[in-house]
Amino acid sequence: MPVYRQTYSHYEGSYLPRSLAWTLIARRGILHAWRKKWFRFVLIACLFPFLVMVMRFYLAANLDVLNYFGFDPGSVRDILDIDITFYYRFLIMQSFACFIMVILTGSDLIASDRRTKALTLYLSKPITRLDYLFGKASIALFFLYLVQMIPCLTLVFLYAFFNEDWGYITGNIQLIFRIILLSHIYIVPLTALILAISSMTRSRVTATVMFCVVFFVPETFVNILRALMDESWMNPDYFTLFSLGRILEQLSPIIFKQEAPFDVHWIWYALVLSVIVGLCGLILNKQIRAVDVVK
Amino acid sequence: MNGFPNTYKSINHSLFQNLMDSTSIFQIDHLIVNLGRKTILRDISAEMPQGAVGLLGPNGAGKSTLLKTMMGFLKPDKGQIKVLGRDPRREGAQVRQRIGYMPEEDTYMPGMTAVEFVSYCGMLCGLPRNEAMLRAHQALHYCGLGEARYRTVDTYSTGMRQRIKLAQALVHDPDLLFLDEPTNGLDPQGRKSMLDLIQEITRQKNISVILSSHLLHDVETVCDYVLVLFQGSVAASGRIQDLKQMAQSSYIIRIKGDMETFIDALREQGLECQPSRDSRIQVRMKEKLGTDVIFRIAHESGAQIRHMAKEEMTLKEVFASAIQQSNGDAAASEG
Repeated sequence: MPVYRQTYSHYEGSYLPRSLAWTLIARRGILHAWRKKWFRFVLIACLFPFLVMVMRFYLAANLDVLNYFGFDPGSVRDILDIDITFYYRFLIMQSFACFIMVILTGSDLIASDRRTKALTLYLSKPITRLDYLFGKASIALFFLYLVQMIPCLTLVFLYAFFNEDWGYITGNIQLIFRIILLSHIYIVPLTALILAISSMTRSRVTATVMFCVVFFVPETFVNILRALMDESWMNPDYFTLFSLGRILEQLSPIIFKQEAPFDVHWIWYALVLSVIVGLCGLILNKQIRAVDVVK
Repeated sequence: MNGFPNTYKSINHSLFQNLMDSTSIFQIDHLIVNLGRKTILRDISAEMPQGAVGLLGPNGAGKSTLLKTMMGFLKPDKGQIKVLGRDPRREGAQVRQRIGYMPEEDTYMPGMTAVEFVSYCGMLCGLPRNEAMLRAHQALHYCGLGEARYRTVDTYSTGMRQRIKLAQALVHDPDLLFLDEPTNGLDPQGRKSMLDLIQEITRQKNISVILSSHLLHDVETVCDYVLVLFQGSVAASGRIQDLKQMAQSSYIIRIKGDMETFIDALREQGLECQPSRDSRIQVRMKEKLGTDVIFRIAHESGAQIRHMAKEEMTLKEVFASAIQQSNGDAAASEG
């Protein structure tokens, strides 16, 4: 008797609840990305500034250590001083890592499923389109949190740990809230945008190029228009509403009570950002289907 | 008119009334599905019992659309549909939990070994991790991919991809399998072995199958029931054996006497005759006409009937007749 006749049998156990399906997609995507050597290398490179900052925090809390290396602790005290703007600058610095990671992890998330027609397979299982989307988004979100929000929050905890001052955390709840908010201002729109673009193509390269075009081309036009526009006619800063990069640039300092670069109320930027995320949602709703309907 | 009796579809409907009830795998009632501006399924009604059901029709007949509507991928514009007693529009996930779908397209998840792929599909269907892995090995062995289960799916040949699509559809132990053109791209040997496997699934494992194909041979080999679609409408439906018998019957006759006179006399009565080289005549009977007509004509033309046997139609002929009649119906309604 062939082997297969002895093996296949009916399943008599129970099935897990469907609400967990998105976690399977997320877990598989994260492991799939982690298996690639080059990806691990880029991820560690993106976390390099964090490692440097950990050393800085250690030194700031243990200035005496500098004596061993022949430095005068008093001369570097000001350089190593840590205040709220430090975290702001760190988040802005890590936003570049976010940009890299969102392209690396997000550009092929849905494009590869469209290329290999795996979308039909996914949706033929007892999962909803929302499960699929949430699972895929979680992959990009995981790595973006890993390079921006989590390191920054870790630094807050490390400051308290190195200085043995746990009151630092309770006394800076607002700081933690600001870090989380600013991270999401970057992470959510970038994830929504890359997923929407990835869902419109079958190629990782095309998705990457489209993402860069959407991000950088409006920025270039905005810069040109601002340079050319006569300020007496209208405030040229309004053109920055058309550039995602400029929107993020305007909203970030406001969250950390820093001076905003453009002379337009932040509410407009928040509104445009919401519209961008909403449009991405509409695109995803249209694209994530088991059947391509040609009208 | 040459072809099926006009009452064909209604005969089948009443024929199945006693087979249905709770054991039907799907029930469709006046279903209309539009894709964009085009109507793909036009007011179709059908009901099929458990077992192997063939969904037959030429390319573009609406087979895949019907399958996708049953899966809940497409929303009907009108009519009712129930699969395994549930409405896929409202309970899509519950329906898909009990269904295994083997799509027509070459589809896979890149970068995974076969066993990872199949177990992942099992987990998506709700199997616990260990159970999914165990059943993935079983399903791959069962589908003849035991030796290749640690290879990445990207490196598989067309035949192997067909088999792995079947394995992923089977892994969670579905009650019903949707197989969309399962023999596409396979060589004759691969086709035979795939059809044997599907037969084994329906007969030994008691899993119902809906086999969508434009290949009559595949449907005839595997299925007990058939739903013939043509231009989005049901051309015929029912048990294949019954359809063959109900279709216009033909007889093979050998006579002693003047064959030409006999054939002319038959043709005068409106019967279709086809003489062959070995002195035999194939006579296709008209609806509600008994064999006594042939004997009477033979008597009148002075011929002796030495041999007379009923010839069973093949599914190909049934299919051709159904399509022919559907064409005629469409032309009549346009006229």
